[in-house]
Amino acid sequence: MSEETVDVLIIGAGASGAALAWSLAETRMNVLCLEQGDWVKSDDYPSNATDWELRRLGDFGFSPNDRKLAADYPVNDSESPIAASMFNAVGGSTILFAAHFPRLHPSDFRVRSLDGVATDWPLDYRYLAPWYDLNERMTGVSGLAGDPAYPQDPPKRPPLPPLPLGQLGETLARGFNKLGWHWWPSDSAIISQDYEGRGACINAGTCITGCAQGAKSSSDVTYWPIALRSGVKIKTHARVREITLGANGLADGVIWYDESGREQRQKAHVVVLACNGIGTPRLLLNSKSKDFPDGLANRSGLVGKNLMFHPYAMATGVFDRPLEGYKGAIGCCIMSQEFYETDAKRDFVRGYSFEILRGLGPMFTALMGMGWGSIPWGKDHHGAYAELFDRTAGMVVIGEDLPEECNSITLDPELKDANGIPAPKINYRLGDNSQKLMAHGIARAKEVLEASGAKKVIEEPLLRVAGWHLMGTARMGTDPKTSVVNEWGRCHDVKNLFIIDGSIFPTAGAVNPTNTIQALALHVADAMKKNLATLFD
Amino acid sequence: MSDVHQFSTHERDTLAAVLDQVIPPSADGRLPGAGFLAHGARFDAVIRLLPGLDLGLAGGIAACDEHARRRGVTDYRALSDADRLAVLNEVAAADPGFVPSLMFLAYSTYYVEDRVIAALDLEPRPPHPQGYAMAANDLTLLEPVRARSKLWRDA
Repeated sequence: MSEETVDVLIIGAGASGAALAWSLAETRMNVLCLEQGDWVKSDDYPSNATDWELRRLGDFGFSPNDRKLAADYPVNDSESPIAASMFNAVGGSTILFAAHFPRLHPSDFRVRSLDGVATDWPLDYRYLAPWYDLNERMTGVSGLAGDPAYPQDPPKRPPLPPLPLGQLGETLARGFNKLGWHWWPSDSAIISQDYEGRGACINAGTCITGCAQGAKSSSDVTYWPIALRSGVKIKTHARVREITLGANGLADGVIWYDESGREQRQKAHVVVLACNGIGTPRLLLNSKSKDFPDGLANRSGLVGKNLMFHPYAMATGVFDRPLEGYKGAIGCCIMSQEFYETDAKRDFVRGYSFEILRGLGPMFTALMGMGWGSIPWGKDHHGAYAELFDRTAGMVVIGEDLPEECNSITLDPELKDANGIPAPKINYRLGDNSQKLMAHGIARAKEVLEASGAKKVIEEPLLRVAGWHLMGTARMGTDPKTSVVNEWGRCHDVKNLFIIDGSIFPTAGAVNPTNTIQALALHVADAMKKNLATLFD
Repeated sequence: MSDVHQFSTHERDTLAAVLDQVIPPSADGRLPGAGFLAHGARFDAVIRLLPGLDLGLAGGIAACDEHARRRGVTDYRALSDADRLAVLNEVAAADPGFVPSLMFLAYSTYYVEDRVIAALDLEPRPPHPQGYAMAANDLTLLEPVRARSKLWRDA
């Protein structure tokens, strides 16, 4: 049992926890982070061996239900067409993320005002822009200024040049140009040149099983080393069960389990939740008391509600020549936002992005070909394999999902983790607008691939594995009746409890959320520092 | 996991013969058949990845032997190559899950083997630390995009 009361206790050492810890370090407050996973060392990563692809099916897979590592907790996703994907370690899900690092658009913060759906954010793009700038410098974003899909005032200037497009990227760029559609080199959290003591990307193509090179800017190699040098502490293998309340109605700490399963307590003056859009509502819902019988900070009844994923569809073009698609950052190549904004001529509101992926490695070519029915067993196997290997280009549609209260995280009545803590259950269905939007996107993706020279296009209308982006389950707003946290991440109901992960997104936009999650965490940390004297008023 | 089916030498030998039907040697001899995988360490790792994969494979192997005996031979390996294919098709018709299990096993382990990687004209080495060289970007391709007016909405 810990006797020490820390000033700030952060739960979760992923993208947002790292950014906030770094920002608070300068205050010299006593900051502690509890993380249920461990550090992942460079030698641990699959890319150090030739069978690296095989480990995508095992201990470096996306789903905690498949990995079943000690750091993982199970997620009941049987009532959802999209499975939860996350990683539990210092760095969190940035360990496995593809490292797309775009910003939201200005319109994403004004969805209600512009399109009459969902809700507006309590802050806007112009306000968040400096925090994006800071986060992109800290992260080491590779990209290119001048993208007409984003405002030039204030300008977006990635600190490093873009990653290589490669033969595959340039092939698809020509396809976009043939159609007259927007494309731009991806903003990537992967350093294209040596940066801040880290070595540049070597185009190994293994990003989604982690980066042994350290070129991918997972938060264990960006914010955490600096935060630790500045005095912040991390306890790993520390799984929090619940947040406890003091007699004054404020959070006074947490109960957690150490690696051996022993119950521990940690007292704190401020508690910050950074556990992702599933882990955060799980913890709040599991923190019940007389004052909060439906879960901590849940007087609005919205904790766990309004879960948003980004639904993903995928189109794969098969070309008649090699594309060297196994080289280069696997997810970061080109982004197109031709269909990002609402167009009244379409039968849906909001929009989507296209992201061009690289090709597949040797093993996943075989497994995907098997799934598509393109690579048979038997005498025709080798010929069919040769038609696919290094001749495919993937293209995903990442759609904006609107918040709906029926899409939710609850506590599973039976499933529990290794410490006996109730597991989260996802109840989710794809809304009507999302279905129309994704159908539009997959049809346009096929056009791009055909314009790029694909002789065949394989369409997958909804990727089950793609539950990477977990948002909306403790949303921010100014009204305590319709939101869980205020505009700087403080819970309306518990004045010393903050939430900084994707849970607080009121809407999802149609881009990968990590840059926005971290920019918000920096904003929240700044607000905490500015309001230290009146933090609990 | 200790509860995974322990494959006997006979079962592994039979599985090797079956896997050589799933991925046979290439006509030019550069690519081996997949049979060698039945005796490799990766086999033991992969059968743990999917619940029931071990028992599904063991049941299918036993069925191959049983169908072979109906043809008057001692076991599956005693069949001619043509009859091995015919028997595998018979078993696949009776047990629709067997061939997908075989394919998963074969496809996920065959294409990470050094000898296979080399035969695909790739270097059989880990991606890290050497990585791959890539050409510099041709950003003149962006000229038509740069010429466009703004795409984002005022908010």
